[in-house]
Amino acid sequence: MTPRPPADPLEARLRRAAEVFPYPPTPPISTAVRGRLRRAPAPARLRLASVLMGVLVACSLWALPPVRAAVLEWLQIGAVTVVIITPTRTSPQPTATTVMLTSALQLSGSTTRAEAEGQLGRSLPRLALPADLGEPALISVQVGDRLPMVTQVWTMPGEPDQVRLVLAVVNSRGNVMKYMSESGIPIMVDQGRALWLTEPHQMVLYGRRGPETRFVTQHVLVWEVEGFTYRIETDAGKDEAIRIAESLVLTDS
Amino acid sequence: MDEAGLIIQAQRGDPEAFRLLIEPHQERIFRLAYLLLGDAAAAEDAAQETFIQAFRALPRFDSARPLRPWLLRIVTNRCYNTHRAAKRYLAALRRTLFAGEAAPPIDLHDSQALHTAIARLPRPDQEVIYMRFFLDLSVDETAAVLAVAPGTVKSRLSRALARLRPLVADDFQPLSVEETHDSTPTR
Repeated sequence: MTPRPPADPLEARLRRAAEVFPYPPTPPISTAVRGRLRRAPAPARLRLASVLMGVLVACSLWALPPVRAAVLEWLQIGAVTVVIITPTRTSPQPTATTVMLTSALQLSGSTTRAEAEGQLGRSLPRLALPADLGEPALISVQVGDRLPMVTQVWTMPGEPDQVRLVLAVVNSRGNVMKYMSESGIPIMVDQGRALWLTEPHQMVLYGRRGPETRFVTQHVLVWEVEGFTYRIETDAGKDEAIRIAESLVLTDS
Repeated sequence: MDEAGLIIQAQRGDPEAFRLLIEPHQERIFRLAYLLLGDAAAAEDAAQETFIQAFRALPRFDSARPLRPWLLRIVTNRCYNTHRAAKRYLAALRRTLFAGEAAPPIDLHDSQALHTAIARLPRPDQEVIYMRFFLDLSVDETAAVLAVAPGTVKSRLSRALARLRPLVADDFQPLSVEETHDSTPTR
């Protein structure tokens, strides 16, 4: 398609500039890519046995007679508090008012993007990676202490029951609790503090039905940007999760 | 074999098909990354990462869609949060432009100065200017890359040019010359 000659002098200058712009020579990118793909390890997969063991251990904590919990350590990233407890003592027990969830797709507070943005007070963040993410299957809002947490859940293509990626955002003045028996790994995201959690764990947050305890089995990356705390849940490894987190886009499109 | 056929072959794991698929696009991808990052090494890395990402996501790509807007979107997003290389390049370019060394031909000088001015705009402005003028994408294709409506591309471009105009007039004297048909500079 041949563009019509621009009437604006600045546009004319831009077109002339584009014609003579001194690009460096294009390197042999396809060759390099082919080499990297040949050398790349197999995609990271969950270590199924260890995950199942983690689930078994965590579930056994629920099944054991109540024993007093002992906090060994706690870590804080923005609104998220990670409480490290001894595995021989109790984790919080479900009560008649606690809802136990096993999938992010079960989160209450399903809503629209516009409604979620209205409650959050800003545009929902989006991730540039993975590039084919598309729209989330679920947008959920939980409100605790008057500060909402908005969770976006993406599912695997063709598998509406299989969670692919979760992105949650909450004002850093909020409070989300995680109970684990192993400490997370401190890392950096965009040169800021972050926490990488690989152990399946319980997370307690507040929803319209009261406290919702969810058992999180995917890897979790927690970091903070400009007063908001972000969490992603993913099956990806640490390096890929960092890339996903660093692809966070906060401005309106 | 057309692009849709190559996509299907590549989705089946044919490495040669994937190579044939990306080769026609590598220059454009690299050049957009270079425009956004201002550094050849960083642009090459971003381009490689773009194709790696595309390879991994290809099984889920709709072969009926054109590949180019998708690849351009990936590289645009990859370059979005990278600032440091662009700042180094800008600083180096300023030193070169105003160092008093032998001046490049006026068109080339103009081109580099415009690029320096564009690099000072917000990233969304840079993207729409580079896509419409430097990559010569149509409004519809630019809209597909940026995942916005065609009308939004036009309004965004209009605002971007409005923000570029005073930068050009105030800071870059070679570009502030009163426009005439022969565009002869006064210095």
